[in-house]
Amino acid sequence: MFKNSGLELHRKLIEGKLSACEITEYFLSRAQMLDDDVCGFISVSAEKAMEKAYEIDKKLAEGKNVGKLAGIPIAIKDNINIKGQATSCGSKHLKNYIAPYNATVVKLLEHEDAIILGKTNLDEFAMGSSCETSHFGYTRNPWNLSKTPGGSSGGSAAVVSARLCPISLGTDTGGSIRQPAAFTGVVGFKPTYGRVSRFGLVAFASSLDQIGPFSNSVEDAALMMEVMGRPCDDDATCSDKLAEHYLEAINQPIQGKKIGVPRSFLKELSEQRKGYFENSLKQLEKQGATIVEVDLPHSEYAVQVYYIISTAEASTNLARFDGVRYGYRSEKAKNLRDLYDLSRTESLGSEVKMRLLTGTFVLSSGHADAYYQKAQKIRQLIIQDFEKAFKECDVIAMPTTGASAFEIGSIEDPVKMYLQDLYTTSANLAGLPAVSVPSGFDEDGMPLGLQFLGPRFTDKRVLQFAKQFEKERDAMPLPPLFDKEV
Amino acid sequence: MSDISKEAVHDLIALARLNCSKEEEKHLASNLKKVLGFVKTLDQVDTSNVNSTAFIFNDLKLKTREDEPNEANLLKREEFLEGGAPSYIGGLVRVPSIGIK
Repeated sequence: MFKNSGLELHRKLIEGKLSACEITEYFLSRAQMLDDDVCGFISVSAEKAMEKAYEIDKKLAEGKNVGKLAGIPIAIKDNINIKGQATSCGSKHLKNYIAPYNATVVKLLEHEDAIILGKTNLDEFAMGSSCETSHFGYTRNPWNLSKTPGGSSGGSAAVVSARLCPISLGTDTGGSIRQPAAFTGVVGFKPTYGRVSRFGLVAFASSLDQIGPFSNSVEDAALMMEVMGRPCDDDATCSDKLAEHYLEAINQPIQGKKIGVPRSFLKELSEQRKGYFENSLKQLEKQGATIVEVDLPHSEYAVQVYYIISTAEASTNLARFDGVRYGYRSEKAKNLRDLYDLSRTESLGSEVKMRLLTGTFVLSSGHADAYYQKAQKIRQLIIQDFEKAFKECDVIAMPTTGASAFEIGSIEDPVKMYLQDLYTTSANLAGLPAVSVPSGFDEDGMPLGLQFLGPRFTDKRVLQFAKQFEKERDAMPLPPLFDKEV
Repeated sequence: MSDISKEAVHDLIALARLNCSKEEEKHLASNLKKVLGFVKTLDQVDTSNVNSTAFIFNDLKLKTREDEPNEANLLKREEFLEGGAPSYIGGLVRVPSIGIK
């Protein structure tokens, strides 16, 4: 059963071949037996999942309609609120925080009868590229347990890669869905900024954050977008554009379409990595697409711009974690100022402190012009580059990452870690939809990802290219350690 | 390389409402120097003809609504306090006195 996609499980449920209880029991026991190896889950809500499964089976027995996601087990990144359950953000500060309301995406999933299995591990407050900064320990890469699954949505990527559930939700601020998807050999989609509601997501950098799905097929990502991509009155930055039909659109061939490749931006790639990427392009050409060269001259500064803007926004967003109304409170504080300082100091990890400090610095008087305003201006140049490039092509293709997953503990230098996001941050800065789809393996047998980016609100088109590429690509094997029944 | 003094780092830590040990301060200062050196490469980019704006997605119309509570999202005081407030009394969150340092 673990080899089924979400849509396959749903179809089997509707055809009466499997019950929701069977599916849920199966994946709960699989998670229980195998998650100790990957540590992808922070919490599993078995009782609630079984209750939902009973409810679905009862509806079906009574001849009632069930939702689009009925029977599909889904895991949620632990920075998205589920009412009555802990939302830790991978932080000691929110370890005991129980969310008092549902995120819009959770409401939409539950309305379509998804079975929510549990919450997944992440870098603390989604700040990281390796899932190493979580208060709850490392998540491991199912393809090689000594390597990281990437981050920040490493837990969501690992549980889908190890087939502990077919679909999960992550968040992407600078690559936090696409980089872990590439590292673990799964599909990861960051929708257009404004396409999916963020109400109930704990904010990291509000002009960049987006919620999106992980899955083992592009079709499942399209299914999730049919459910999640719609207006929301509770999120002022969510677009009023109506929901769209993704599942049909992704089956359109790419014959005659133009794919832009920013070759000068990719000059730092190793010869070997370049070779893998060129192979993917050759396949796309065989499918009838034309490769054209585009120029993104300012994208080489994307990581620097991203770090200034994201830390500035984070230092503001995380000011709310002061130990007063919820979250961790220091017991040593004798006065109010100490309460703020000590509660934050005792409960936030060193990467979060580092970013709060950087954000405070770039916004402080005397430095805001040189750093924050400068970054905002270059962000506009990055956007203008994309606008120009998309006049020449339908989508842009790039590798998702410069290399495959790295060893746990191997990157200590913060700048080197930040450069992990070199090819992913520009999509966030420009608010574009971008998908990472598995494209093969490197010389060490680790998965690689191919990325497609499109103009704003062309989410369907981006998924269409990913689907068409996936269709002609060699079948993707499962991680050997997890290609077994338990 | 952007340079930042020990005192400046100390002030910054206070501004960010943190309170670090000498050792942690040293570690943060060294990392901050690296990061600021890295982002300083932005100086190479000519931005003299670019306007500065924080809101860059013109296709998103920010929605506003009346400043009235949305009943569907309303959280009861008791529910909030009992749900996780670190300390409360008489229906209010309790904190230590403002005090003088």
